[in-house]
Amino acid sequence: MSLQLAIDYRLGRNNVAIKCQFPNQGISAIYGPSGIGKTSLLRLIAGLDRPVSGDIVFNKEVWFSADKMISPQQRRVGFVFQDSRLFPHFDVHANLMLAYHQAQRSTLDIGQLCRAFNITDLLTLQANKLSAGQQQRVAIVRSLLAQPQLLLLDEPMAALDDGNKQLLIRQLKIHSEKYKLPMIYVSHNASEIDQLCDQLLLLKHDGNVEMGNASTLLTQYLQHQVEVIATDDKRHHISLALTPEQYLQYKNQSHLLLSIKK
Amino acid sequence: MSNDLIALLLTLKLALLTTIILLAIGPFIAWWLAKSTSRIRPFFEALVALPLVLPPTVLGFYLLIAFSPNYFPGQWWQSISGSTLAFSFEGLLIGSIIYSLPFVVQPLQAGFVTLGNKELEAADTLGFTRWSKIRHIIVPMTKRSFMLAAVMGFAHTLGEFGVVLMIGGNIPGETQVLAISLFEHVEALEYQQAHTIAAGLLVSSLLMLIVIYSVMQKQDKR
Repeated sequence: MSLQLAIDYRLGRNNVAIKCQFPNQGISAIYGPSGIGKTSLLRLIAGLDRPVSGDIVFNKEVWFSADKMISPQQRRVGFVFQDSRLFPHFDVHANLMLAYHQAQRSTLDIGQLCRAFNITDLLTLQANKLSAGQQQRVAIVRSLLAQPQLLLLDEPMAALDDGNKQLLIRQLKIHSEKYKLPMIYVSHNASEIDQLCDQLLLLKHDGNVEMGNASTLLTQYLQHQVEVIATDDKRHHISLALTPEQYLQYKNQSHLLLSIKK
Repeated sequence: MSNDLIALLLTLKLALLTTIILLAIGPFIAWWLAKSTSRIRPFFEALVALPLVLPPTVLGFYLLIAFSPNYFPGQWWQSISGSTLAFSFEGLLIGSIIYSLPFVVQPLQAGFVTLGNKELEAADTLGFTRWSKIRHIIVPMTKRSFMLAAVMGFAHTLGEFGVVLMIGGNIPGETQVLAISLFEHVEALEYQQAHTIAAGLLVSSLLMLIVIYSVMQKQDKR
């Protein structure tokens, strides 16, 4: 029971091969430096783009193979885009209802979902009149209402302030658990992933991938990504550029003495 | 009824039918032209645009030949309808559809190109069927292009002259449209009647364009 990929796909001018597997529960993250193909990978899973070759299988259902490519509609994969993509000519309510009507025998309560994601006050507003953060909240509710069997999120929090981020992280977790909806979450923000995700697929520069527990893998990866600013001759004093997460890790290691210079 | 009144009704009927038929087939052609990456696309794009640059008499001449019972299309028509296509209203309608095709297809094509793929991809991932994408996204988001296409197709057919002259002749109630009537009056030096038709066509065409452009301006402001 999982999503299995073994594909070659085009990334710019290059052919990239990837082989990986996502569990069919909880929230998985795809993490890696920008330009490595995180968004491309999501689009291939959704069926918006076509791999060059290989197989994509979800719970024994073949989504892509040499002689088969099924549509995003048949895959029932939800997608939250970086740029929201609400339908600008409708108000928020119509945007939600259109998605709601696509679901067969919906079990979701629209009012409750709107309250959870704090968009009840926006329902009568025209979609193109919302702020970026509001649009993104509506876009997430809209894709949940279509009741996908897998939800893909492409850096949905890039445009959000901290308060909204915390709200979304909490609600996405609740929804994923309550409705047994697996999610794949793309981001290059380690702290978001650490809070939200259970597993992590790490895309590396050399083309390798690594899959594992999100916080463990992030910790390992970030340790190797510390930027060294300066060292003295004997390497007793090293200046490092640390992210807040890295600082927390290093702080607890007794053989290191950290002093902060901002 | 005077001949001019008959010509007016015939012209309106021709323009209306042409517009309806073009609005039924135009969107499919425009969609293909807007979205296809095929190598033969430029050929079809040129074919659609041809009536814009070709003298209408050239188009009319070839249609006249195609419509004659000596060639396949005319022959086929005669075998199923029992009458000739040349010098008939049906022939005129076919000519008008070809002649006004670019005026309907080009605004739609431009609209579909501007529409892009973003909202359509979002709809795909929400499970929209093809029909609900057309109904809820493509048509409402390109409404302007559809309005412009309809008015341009209609107005352009009203002003048709060269093609009609070649394939329709001048049969009152069958193929005598306003532009031909006007020509007749001028030839007969009946300037009074000529003025009525000319001014009528001028004013109504101008009005139609003013109405459509102000509607579009209002939409822009929303």
